[in-house]
Amino acid sequence: MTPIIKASKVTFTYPAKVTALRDINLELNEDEVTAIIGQNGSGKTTLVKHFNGLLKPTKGEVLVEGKDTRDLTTAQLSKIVGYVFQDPDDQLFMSKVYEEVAFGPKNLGFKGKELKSSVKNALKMVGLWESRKKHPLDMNLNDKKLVTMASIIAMKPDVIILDEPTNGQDHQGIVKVESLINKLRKEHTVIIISHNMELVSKVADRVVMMYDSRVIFEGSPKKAFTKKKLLNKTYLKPPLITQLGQGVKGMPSDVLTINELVKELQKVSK
Amino acid sequence: MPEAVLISYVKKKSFFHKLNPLTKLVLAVCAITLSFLLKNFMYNLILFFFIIPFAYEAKLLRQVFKPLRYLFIIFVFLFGIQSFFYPFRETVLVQLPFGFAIWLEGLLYAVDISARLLVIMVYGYLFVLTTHPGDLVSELKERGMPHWLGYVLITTLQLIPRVTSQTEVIIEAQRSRGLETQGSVIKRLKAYTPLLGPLFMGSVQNAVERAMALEARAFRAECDKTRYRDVKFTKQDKLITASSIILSIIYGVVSWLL
Repeated sequence: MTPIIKASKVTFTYPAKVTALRDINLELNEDEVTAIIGQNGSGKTTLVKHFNGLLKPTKGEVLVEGKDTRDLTTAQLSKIVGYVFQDPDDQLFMSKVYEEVAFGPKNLGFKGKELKSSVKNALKMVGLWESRKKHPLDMNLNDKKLVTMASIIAMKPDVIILDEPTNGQDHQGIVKVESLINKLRKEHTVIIISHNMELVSKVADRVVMMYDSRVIFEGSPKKAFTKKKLLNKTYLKPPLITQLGQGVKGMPSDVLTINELVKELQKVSK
Repeated sequence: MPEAVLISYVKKKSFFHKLNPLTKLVLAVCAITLSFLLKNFMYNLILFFFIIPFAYEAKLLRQVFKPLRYLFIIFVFLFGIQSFFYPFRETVLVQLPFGFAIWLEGLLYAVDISARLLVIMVYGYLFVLTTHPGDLVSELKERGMPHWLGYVLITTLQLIPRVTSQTEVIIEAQRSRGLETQGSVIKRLKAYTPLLGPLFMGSVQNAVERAMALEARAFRAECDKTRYRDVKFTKQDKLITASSIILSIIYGVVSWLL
């Protein structure tokens, strides 16, 4: 399988001479959900900003569908890679949800039926079609976040990046985001940045762990959550279920779901 | 021209940095006032170069002089317009076709203003570069400025960097949605309209939240406020303040007597 995004030897230094990425080598495969985890300031956001060309590597190169990001503007790359920002208030500016979602596709040259159907699809997908006439800034945080996601989905990019999709959301919001990611994965390559390990364990095919501007681990979530030393280093904790499994004698240390835990517990108790 | 606009405090260990903000303010005000009163540009140029030892001591020589290159464009216009169109022209320096001429008085006037600008800029810069806004406000409050005015002053000083960084984030968000911000002037102007919404709304929202946060921390409590930053007015400050004022008067008078 050819990777859809390939970073080789990427180093990035901010103009203020802060090095935020050191020698990153990473391949992201099509149709996978990749979760990037790590503490604040470890370089997660800087890394994903390289995927849609907002930042260009100081050294090394990033290829998106085989094209060097240095040769393309972010606007051009936005056809392939959509990036949903962390804070919806930085992004929302139209007076109607519908217009907000239509802004991106219009920029890409969508017109007439194509435009309408892509906006409708996106809004239905996030469950906000009924709210299309509301003012985005009148909505609650959960819904604002969903509007920003819809506004990217409507652009039909191959890759969708969600920067802390569950940040500051209540349980209902998190459940919605989770089900949305599961819908998205059918047609898109999804990258999430998250501190929510429950979410990561549920949706991610692959975990990329970052620490101090480097990638220190990449692999399945099952494997990731058994790497105690690495997790400690980045102040991350496995999901509660996994921790519980790790605390019981004779249990495997990579239990991710309640079902798995129940099965394993039955085995142990026999 | 971000550097020229966004010039702000640079932390360094130096005698000059440690001086009381008022002392530095007096020095800057003296120099700037002088620049208007001196007899001709030669005195202003001397005053301009007089900053070198101060800037050197503050370890900010480069930072003080580097932003001056942004003055270049202003100088071009200044010299262009004044040397041709100065109203009190008498002496023709160079006769050009179509009745145009470069006038001596205009040229001198432009030189005068340029020298004054140079003085104002460097002394202003040195003050801003070496004075922590918190120290300045602390000292001004000590001297009787109302508490709320100090707050207004300090938030204003912080406003520009904050708005700039927020603008950057918003531009990034819009570019990620296919907005082309590079290209022709019209394209770029168009690109900046979507910025205004979030930026304006953000500022209003910030202001409201900030006000509530202040109220929650007893900003309007009617009592004497203590300060986190303690600024002292030392003997050295007295000495430098006094000598700034006295030397300025002497220098000003001398320039007219000689």
